Amino acid sequence: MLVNSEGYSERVTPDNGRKETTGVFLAIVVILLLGGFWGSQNQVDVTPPPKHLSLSVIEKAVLVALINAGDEILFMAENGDSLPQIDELIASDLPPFSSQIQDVASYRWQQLKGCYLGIPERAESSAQFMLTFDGGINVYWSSLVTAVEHTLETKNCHPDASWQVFNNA
Amino acid sequence: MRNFTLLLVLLASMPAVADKLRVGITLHPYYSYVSHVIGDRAEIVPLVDAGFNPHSYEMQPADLKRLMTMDALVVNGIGHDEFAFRALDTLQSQLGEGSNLTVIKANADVPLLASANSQGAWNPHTFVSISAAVRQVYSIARELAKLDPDNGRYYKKNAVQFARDMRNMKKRYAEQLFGLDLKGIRIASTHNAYGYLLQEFGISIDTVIEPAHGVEPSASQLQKTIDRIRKADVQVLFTELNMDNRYVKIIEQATGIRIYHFSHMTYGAYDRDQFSREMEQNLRTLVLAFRQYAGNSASIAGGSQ
Repeated sequence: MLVNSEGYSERVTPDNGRKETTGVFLAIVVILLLGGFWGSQNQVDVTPPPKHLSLSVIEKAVLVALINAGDEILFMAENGDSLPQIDELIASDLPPFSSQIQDVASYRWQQLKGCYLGIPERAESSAQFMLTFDGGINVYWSSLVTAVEHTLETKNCHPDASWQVFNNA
Repeated sequence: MRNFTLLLVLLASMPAVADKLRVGITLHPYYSYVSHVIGDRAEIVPLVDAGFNPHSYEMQPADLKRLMTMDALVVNGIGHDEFAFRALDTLQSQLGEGSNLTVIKANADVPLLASANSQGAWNPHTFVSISAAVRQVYSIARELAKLDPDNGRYYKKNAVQFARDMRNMKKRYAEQLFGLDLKGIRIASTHNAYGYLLQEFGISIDTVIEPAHGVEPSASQLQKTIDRIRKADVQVLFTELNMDNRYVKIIEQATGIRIYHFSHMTYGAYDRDQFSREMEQNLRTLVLAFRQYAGNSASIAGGSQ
């Protein structure tokens, strides 16, 4: 309160930036609210990535054997038109199709059109494997539980998003 | 006339010799792999003279000179031949784009294991393994076939033959393990070199003693290791052949653990058959260790009944 010599008085608000602070604060709140609203309206529909399936020691052994088998299968197929049958691979004693690895990891292998699919036969393994030759040797694996929901894709040798592909790059 | 004919024959044979690929290697196992793949259709050139320690080697001017004569260099590339990459950097800085050297990363298609006791690094010992060795031989053959298409089929055929030979060797030893109950086996290793080999038999390593690749543990680290071995009931310790690890004896005395020696495969003279010979020795050791473990645990189980 200011009072002069003639008794005139006037109430003066302090010029300490308080009003401006309140204004800036309100502006920030409004901007954030608008931003949140705009964001919620423009969300991209993102499909959750497949859950990463860590392989056990035994499953890793199957993975390495299967990648190696890919090279030998291609070599065997160079003189013929089609990929060798499972029986031929077993007769060649080629892991993981042969019994060599069966004491460690037991898988039932089947040949589909252009690929091989391995299903674990023991409870301790939960990963199934697929070997395809589309543009090179490709090895995929997926959880057995997840893959049951994707039988159609599996039968066609086209692994969907539930499969992980081996790639060191 | 006879001399003239001889000269013609010699001249005719010279381009063929000169056309042969010169394939460099950095470590002993790669000498074996590449020798098997190329047969007599290319020349193999070790980057470094035999007798070096791959864990601590520094490149010499003579090595660099050799590097400049190569068409391709086969590398481990994931931590066991860093010296070669320093040389490649030097070569690159000297020749720039003028270098025609192709670097073949043997481990490009190997499913790698993480390095024990180190963050963000791979275990580089893929060469102490049969499956991972076969994988590398296939990758080497594929890349050499690209460089030398005329001999591509020959390289692939040799790679397949190597794979079959190694598979047969492994089978002979794996058969001796059929029926053994190895579920309770706990394994320690001084050096992080045997993870890939044991993985093939469905076994993982519980404890790696060296705090880092080639580094001996301190007294306190050793004590912690001994405590860990006792607590986890580790029964088998794999250590390196021909390496004087003083602390191994201390661990043996303190815990009663059984010690077995594996070859690291990176020492001695370069030799085409070193890999198969030393791998067979490793398999013999592995079978012995597992059978003794199984025998012991069976007799303990029998005694407690």
